[in-house]
Amino acid sequence: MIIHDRSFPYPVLAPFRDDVSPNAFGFEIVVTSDADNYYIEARFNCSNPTLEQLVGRGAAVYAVQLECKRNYFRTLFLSKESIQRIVVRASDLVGRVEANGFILACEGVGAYAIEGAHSDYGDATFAIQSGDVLALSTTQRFDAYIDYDPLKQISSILTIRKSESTDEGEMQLDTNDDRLIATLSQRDYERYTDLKGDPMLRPLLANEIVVPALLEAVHEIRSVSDEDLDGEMSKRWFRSIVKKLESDGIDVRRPDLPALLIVQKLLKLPLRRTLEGLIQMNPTDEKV
Amino acid sequence: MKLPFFSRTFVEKLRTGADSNQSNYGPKTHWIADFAGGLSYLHDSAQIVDPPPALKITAEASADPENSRKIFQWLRNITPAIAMEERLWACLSHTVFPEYMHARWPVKDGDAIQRRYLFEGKSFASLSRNGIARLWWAGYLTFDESRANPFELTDTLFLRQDIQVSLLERSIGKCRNVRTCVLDFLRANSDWLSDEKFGRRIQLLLKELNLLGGVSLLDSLPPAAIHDHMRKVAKSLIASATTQSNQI
Repeated sequence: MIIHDRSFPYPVLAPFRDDVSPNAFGFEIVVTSDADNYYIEARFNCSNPTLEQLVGRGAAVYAVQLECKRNYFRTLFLSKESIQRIVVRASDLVGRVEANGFILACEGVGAYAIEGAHSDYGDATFAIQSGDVLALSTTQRFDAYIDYDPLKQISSILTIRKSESTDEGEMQLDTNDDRLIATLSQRDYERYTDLKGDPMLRPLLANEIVVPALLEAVHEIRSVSDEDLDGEMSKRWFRSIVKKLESDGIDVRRPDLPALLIVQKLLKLPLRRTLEGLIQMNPTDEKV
Repeated sequence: MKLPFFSRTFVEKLRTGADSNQSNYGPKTHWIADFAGGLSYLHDSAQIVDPPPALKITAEASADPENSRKIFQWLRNITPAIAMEERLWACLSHTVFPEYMHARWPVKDGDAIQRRYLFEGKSFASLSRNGIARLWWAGYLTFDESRANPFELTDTLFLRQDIQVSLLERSIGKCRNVRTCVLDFLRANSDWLSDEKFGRRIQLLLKELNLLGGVSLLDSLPPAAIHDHMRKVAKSLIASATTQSNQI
């Protein structure tokens, strides 16, 4: 929803209206992303004393509304804080996304009058209800495009298999094939496939297996002698990791770079993604 | 099975050839390979799914709720990003459910192909027009696990075409509270559905909600507030209809 100038039956702070002076109401977003999520930092800048006071005593909140133009995603995020950090699953947004910032009443205000109201309002006061818009911003936009095809088999270098012999036990990694093969015990494989059905859990589960597997793989790449390097490059997983890191300007065989750091660069901060995923499942942030 | 999808090139070929290709559209699929003319048009996605459900094959809209349930449950784990893929729905419409498509959305002209077998345009409304995508999205947007019948809102959504247009082709329908409240309201006021002026009434109801959204942010209102507002609007719509008929 693009916010156009519109008339309200009471004075509303907006940079494109003269209901309230000064009419500064700043709203900016900074968007970053990884394979799992979009991270949207929304910053409000409001110095109107009436609105600051209402937010301060919990009668109003900062609100960010995100709407994806090409699907049905439209969600409102509320906070008492002027800086909000919002996480949205990458698979929820495709294409143009519009972000609108508001200050909303979250309880009724019997005799609302805002400091700086246009003189035309005189001494008038207004009955404000919960949900009423008290301030609104100019619409911000960003384009949400993931850099992989959601339908296609992601060029995978890791296969997860069920052990034929071990009922319960450690994960094994085989690096001798074209792909890395992680073999889980039968019971772990069943647990893994059960949990994998939940789209929220999928990225978290993947990291549990992918991080140790890639650590092992990076160690193996570094242990190969220069003479054997060409031969090893014939393995798809080996080639793929070396080339991917090369394209990111990282020499995987540089001895001063810790393997753990390389894996985190390769997976674009897997710990952050796991923790963000857990927060999404069980938010502990203070809610308004 | 792996969920199949068409190549982009083939979708484009179907689109540009829609006007001249109408006569091929029927319950059979043999023409598709010929039409591809050697093009590699069918691919497997990374999504592993059960075999496709048997949809109820009929021209009647009354089977839409049942078919929606089947499609949504079959593809329950796909993400919205996948469910926005024209390549997927075009493939399912053409190759997996051709009998259903032929019965429910017989092709009368090229526009019907664009609208029901492909995506007509790039807006979110096109998701509710493709013959198979609409069944999934309707389920996705109305499924509510907390209800005794999680698909009761899906059933209501499909009761009248006007409801689908009002909620799935208009921006206001993106607001979950509005969607839920309107569908709950219609469930509780089923006499509205049989009224001959239903189409007009639902338009006016949504228009009034839109006006409320001009001052309050609908997404922030609790369902009870939207329900209250709808009840008031409904009352005034009925009162105005009574006055008009008395004047006549």
